[in-house]
Amino acid sequence: MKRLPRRFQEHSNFFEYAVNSLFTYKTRTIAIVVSLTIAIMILGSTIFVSDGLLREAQLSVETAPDITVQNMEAGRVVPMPNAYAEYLGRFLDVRRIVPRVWGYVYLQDSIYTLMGIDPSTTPIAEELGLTLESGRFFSGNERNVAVIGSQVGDALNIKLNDQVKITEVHAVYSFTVIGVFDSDVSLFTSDLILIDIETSRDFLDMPPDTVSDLCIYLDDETKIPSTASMISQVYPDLRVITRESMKDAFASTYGLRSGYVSVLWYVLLISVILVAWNQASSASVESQREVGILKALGFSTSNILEIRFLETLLLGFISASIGIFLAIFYDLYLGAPIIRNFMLGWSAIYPNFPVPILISFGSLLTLYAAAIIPLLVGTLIPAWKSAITEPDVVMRGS
Amino acid sequence: MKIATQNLTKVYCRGKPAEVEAIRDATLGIREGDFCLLTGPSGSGKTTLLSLLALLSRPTRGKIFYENEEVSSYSDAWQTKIRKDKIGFIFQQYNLLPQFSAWENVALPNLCRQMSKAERRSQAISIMRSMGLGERVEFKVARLSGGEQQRVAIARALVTSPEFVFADEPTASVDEDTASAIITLFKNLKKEGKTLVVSTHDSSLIREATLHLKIQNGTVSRFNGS
Repeated sequence: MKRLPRRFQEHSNFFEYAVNSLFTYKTRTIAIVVSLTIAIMILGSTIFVSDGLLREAQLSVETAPDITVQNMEAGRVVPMPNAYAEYLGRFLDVRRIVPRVWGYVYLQDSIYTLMGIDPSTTPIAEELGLTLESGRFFSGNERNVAVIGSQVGDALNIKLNDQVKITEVHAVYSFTVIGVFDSDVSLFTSDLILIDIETSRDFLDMPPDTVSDLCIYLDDETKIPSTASMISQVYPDLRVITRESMKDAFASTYGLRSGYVSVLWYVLLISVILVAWNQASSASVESQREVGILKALGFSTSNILEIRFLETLLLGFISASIGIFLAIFYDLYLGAPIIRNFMLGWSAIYPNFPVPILISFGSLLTLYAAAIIPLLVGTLIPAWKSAITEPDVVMRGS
Repeated sequence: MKIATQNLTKVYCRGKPAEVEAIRDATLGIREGDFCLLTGPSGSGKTTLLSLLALLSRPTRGKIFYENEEVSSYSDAWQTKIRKDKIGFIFQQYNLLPQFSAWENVALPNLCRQMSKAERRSQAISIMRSMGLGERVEFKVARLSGGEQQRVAIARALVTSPEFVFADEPTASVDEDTASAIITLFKNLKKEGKTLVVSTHDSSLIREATLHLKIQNGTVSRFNGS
């Protein structure tokens, strides 16, 4: 076996001692690993889902119109006359106005978004960043055709050229699937069934010449705030939503929801620190006595702290790694039950789409830091207290 | 003088109703190669004096000198260095670490030195063999008899070849054969020129002592025979 350079030998000896200690204090090791693993798993799965949703939201927002306007009455969104498109089109910098008629449709125990557009006024898909996985967009006066989200297809077991039937009280609408959205922007298109605007209006029982909202595209993106402000001033009854405000809304929604879970996690983490502290201090007479013996044998305070540091680092690293692995398994393979509902909403009829997950270097670093740093505080302070006390006093346990 | 004290006093639970003056104004000197024996009844302060002399405890008042250098006021780091480089301590309760095997306990003081596992092991086994523990090298200490544990503790104290060896009642909890082996070992250490400070009730050690200190209620006095 290759020999370590002399200057590393002492540290290697301490590492060996630290590993041994983990097996020595089995109860403490198991208690900390189990509680910390659970804490990291909960926090990790929430962070991964929250980051995934935020990224999806940001991607979706990038494909969103510069400004969306909706008609409000008594604080509620109501159909808006299509004539607004003409008025708003007179604003400076407005390049295009796209009317949309949308609502929700109940299919096979789940809710989907049904959206009707007018292909003649709608920007081409590529312009919106919406690419198709297969098939094509409808054009001109095509009727009874639909473009669906890839996950709608998966959930309803529908493929390209299949028929999708939507039942209304008085009629059954049947569409041929001619295109499937790319799954990259899943939050926006995951539950989307895109059809022509007339059929959508008919299905959703909306008065003729009304729309759900108007999407406004500008020539110059830097003019979004000023144009939005002008629209608000001229038409105070309209709700004006800019792309930035959508981004903020997503961030605060998912941020707030993951914040609730974080609070719960902090409670769990505090209990982990208490376990560690308790084990490393008053409750662990053995551990204190060991420090006294080591001091008597010539170990310095820094030697003892190094041993405890390595021991805690190992403990935290192992716990965090298992926790992260379980979080990934929970999110990716189990579909993040509970957390998924919490983050997306508690609707039992929400389609069972895979929840977006984002595992970034930053979140992994956060999780390891969250596991190791509090544990270090919980073990190093009692160890330091013992190490600076006279060995005789520590060994006597007085 | 190799080790000396001046008005050494140790008070436990100072300022409390249970205050005890364990050592009172002890002034003594131990020369190089001395076999210093501390005797006295239980609770007289022998262990406290040993702890003070071995720098395991700080005096309440007074001074401790190592080779005319006042070490009692040294920082914790310097006192630790002295313990590491110069002192071997044999505890009455052995103070072995149960999670380790016999040889690992013996090699423990070398863990904070630049020695590989193989070097530590070989040195530990060598000293254990010389003490008749060659068959017990890999045993966990809990599986050893009291006498064997005491010999492991002695081997641990000697593994670094310390200048000063302190022993607290080394023959108190062992059978006659082990006690006799330990006494022989101390005689050999004396021959090697080590400075030994041993607290004991064992009268057979008295003959070997070059300095006999008697402790009574914390007061240390030189024993002149009789």
